[in-house]
Amino acid sequence: MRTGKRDASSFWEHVRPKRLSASALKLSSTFCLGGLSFFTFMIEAVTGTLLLFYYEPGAKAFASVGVITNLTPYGSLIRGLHFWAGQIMVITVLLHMARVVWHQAYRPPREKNWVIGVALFCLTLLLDFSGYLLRGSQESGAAATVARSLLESLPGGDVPARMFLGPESWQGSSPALYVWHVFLLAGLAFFLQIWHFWRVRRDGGVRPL
Amino acid sequence: MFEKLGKSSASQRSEKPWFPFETLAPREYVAVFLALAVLFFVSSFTLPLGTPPSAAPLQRAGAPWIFGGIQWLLVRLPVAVAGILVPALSLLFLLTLPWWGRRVGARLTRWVFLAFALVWLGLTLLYQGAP
Repeated sequence: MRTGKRDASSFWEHVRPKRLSASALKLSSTFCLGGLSFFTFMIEAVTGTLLLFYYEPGAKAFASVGVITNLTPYGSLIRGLHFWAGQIMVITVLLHMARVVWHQAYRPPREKNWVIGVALFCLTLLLDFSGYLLRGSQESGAAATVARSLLESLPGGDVPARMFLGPESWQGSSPALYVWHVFLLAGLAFFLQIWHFWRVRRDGGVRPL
Repeated sequence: MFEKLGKSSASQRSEKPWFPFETLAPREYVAVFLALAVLFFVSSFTLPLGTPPSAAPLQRAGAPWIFGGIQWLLVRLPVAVAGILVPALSLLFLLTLPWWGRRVGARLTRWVFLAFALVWLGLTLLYQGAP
């Protein structure tokens, strides 16, 4: 029977093993794309936490983004970092997937980890999209209208539309979407990333000790 | 838990040289430094806010670039096809890719994936260039 301490130690040794194979250290094995995706996610978490202090979802969303950009010290830089890290994350995740397919790294025993990776790709797109809507501009409102129409065209689709976009949105921004973006989608993405890393080692990507 | 590693990785252990994890650390620092440098450079330019809600309504429904391909299809195909069927089939293809790899071979799957990725890239670029 395993103790909690041993399980935690085992988990950590999988994520950060003491030794790595020579092949795992080759730049061409990964091009650092998975690591860069996680790094940009961490940038998103830090800058997103700072933006939380000034951003207001709903009717005041656009005005609060204006305050962050034009009046808050370093607000423009923090918002820029949040935006660009998000765009770079989408690109690095896409390239990471392409690299995995090109190296045929989805084959057994890594099939489950491929599925986790596809789920992470979807979450990345949803995080990017919800961030776009939360700006509260007319462009965001138009995109929210398209998304709501698509969801509502599905049988029973008004339920996910209300859950994700909120019963009412102000040019795309709503408290419901804010909670999804900040807590639920980001939290799930973080959990799946840790699971993804654990499985990389567990499936034999790097020898754990 | 460690003993569950497959036979292939067990045989690889004796063949490959191993390095302490600290070997990787300097590379990670360099990668982080370069990524931060690029991020801070592009972030030094002020992002536009977009069109204010109080301005005259937009004439064209837009989409973020990540969904530009779907938006381009939505203008030309029925909504159920462009907005639901095509994205759902694309997701299904990605999820079942390991199965396709076993079924039709990894080489063919690789080229089909490349074609799939190029089609979506092309649709995204078409949306960016659309009037």
